[in-house]
Amino acid sequence: MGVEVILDIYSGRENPKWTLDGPAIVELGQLLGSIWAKKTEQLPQPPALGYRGFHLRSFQEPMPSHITVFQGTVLTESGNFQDSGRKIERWLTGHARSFVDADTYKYLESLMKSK
Amino acid sequence: MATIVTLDIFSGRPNPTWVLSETDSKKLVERINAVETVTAQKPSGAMGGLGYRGFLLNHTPHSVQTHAAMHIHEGIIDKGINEANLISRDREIESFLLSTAPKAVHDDVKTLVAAEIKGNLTAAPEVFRQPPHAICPKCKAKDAPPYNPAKWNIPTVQPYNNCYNYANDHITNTFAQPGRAHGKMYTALTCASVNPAAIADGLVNSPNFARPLGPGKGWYVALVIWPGVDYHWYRQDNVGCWSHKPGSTAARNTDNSGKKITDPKTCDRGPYITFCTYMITNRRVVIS
Repeated sequence: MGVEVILDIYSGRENPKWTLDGPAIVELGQLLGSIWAKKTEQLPQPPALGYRGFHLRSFQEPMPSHITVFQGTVLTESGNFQDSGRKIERWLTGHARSFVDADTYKYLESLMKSK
Repeated sequence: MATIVTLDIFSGRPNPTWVLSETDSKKLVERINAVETVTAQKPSGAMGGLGYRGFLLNHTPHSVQTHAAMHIHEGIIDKGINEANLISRDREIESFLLSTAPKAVHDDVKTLVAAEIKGNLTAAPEVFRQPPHAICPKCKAKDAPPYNPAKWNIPTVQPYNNCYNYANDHITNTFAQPGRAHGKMYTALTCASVNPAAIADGLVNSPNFARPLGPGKGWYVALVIWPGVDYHWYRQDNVGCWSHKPGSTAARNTDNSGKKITDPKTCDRGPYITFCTYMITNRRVVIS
């Protein structure tokens, strides 16, 4: 089983979704491993319209089963963690490229340029 | 299970949201299961209003749903339209949920909610004061639906119905697409393509939302476009302000700046920068 990813971004259309597997899961596990010590009380609030983050469902122990990544914060059942430099978000954005249209990707990429 | 808690309290600012730990989720389920008294009452917070309106419980999009989405306020556990509501006069569940709020929730807000739960509310602390109210325009459509997010923000409805479902006030659980019910779905994400698709479903263009619409004549909606990427719909509720449901997220009555929507043409729409047109929909419109 892989890790399912939903890019929460659209209103009328269905959100893009895809599955990570193999080396991508290992890489994601490493990225997540680097943030577990960085607990944060930040609660970024996604806007109504536009990019609202990535939702991940994982079947890979010991990865949390549900993860939301938005604006440099990773939300899990065990708390919120700081994703410094939006590394995980940028990494997920890179993966999104194959699953979204060019205009959506361009928009996403422009958002990731901000800290 | 991942339970998302939203403290429904603000008007101009986003409401605080957090994810319950597994331990707290279990404690919550135990508390809810212990309540046995059925009530026909609805929490007053379900109808909007200002100030503390209760706690909304939802799940992350992927989570296994061991309990339904709920609204808990005034001791009432509102499980949505398919289940009976429960009531617990001591409001212990609300106190428990408040105790799970992270540090990021301002102490003044916590104090205010705690006071409300205990029934000894005095003056609202500074942090809680509401921004000036937007004055809603008069609603001219007799059929305009009420703003009732409790109907939409439940797990059997919210993920499967989008802005088009919401604007037409029609739950299809199909993430309805303009024109699809009539074999005339849009082919591009432009006003010129989505607008005729909606007309094929039975909607009618309108230059504004000022003309009186009698009973049976429907209500006003508005179509906007994120050029080449997506479309979005708003609807005018019977209070005169507008509301919307962005994709599979919760229905709401505020824009991207957290302000009440007096006119979708001028509100903060994020990347949906093109305003196409106002339209009129009605109960006979067929969408899928």
